Amino acid sequence: MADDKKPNGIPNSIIDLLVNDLFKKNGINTEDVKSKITEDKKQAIRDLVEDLSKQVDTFLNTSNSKKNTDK
Amino acid sequence: MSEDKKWRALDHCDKGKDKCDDGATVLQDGDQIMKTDQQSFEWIIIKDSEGVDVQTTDTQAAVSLQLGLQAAIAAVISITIGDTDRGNAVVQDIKQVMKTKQRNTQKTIIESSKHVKVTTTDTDVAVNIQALLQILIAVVVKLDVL
Repeated sequence: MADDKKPNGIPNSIIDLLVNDLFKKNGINTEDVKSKITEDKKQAIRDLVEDLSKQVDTFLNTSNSKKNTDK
Repeated sequence: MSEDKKWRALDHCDKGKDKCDDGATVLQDGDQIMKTDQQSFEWIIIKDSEGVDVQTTDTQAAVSLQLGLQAAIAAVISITIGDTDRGNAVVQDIKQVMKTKQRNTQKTIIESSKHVKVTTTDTDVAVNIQALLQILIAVVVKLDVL
């Protein structure tokens, strides 16, 4: 059954395509944006992404380990 | 009545006999125990049963994680592109993509059973959360922040 399979998620290539398209569609010049981001802001965003990545990992691993111990 | 012939988990339980009194809270009377969560409508109905162990996805945690990721994407766009019409349009477009998989319905019914272990996983929520993180990372990488 499908519930036995681990979710594969969406390939990163598709996500990249989507994000590229969204930026292009809305006329956003990424080079222009890049030059305007200060180092402080970059660090704040890095911290945010790192924290959320950890939370997602924990969430997904918890679901998977529950599944494995059941078998 | 045909009801009489049906096996019921608590038929052997007489009041006062402590072998059935294991301290567990049991709701019988043909009643059902329902668990409904906000976003992924998960129903687990347990009827005429004993010793049922249910393990389900922590949907509340999943929902708050989803909201956190959505807020983070909006925040990153706002910080980098600015709270402009363009920035808002990007956030709106991303929200449109994220809306596609917001609902999951699963029903589990346990009836006239003993010592059953149920584990449910909300695959949609897991995929959704993964996708949101992927979008967040893709945006951040594209803007050379990571």
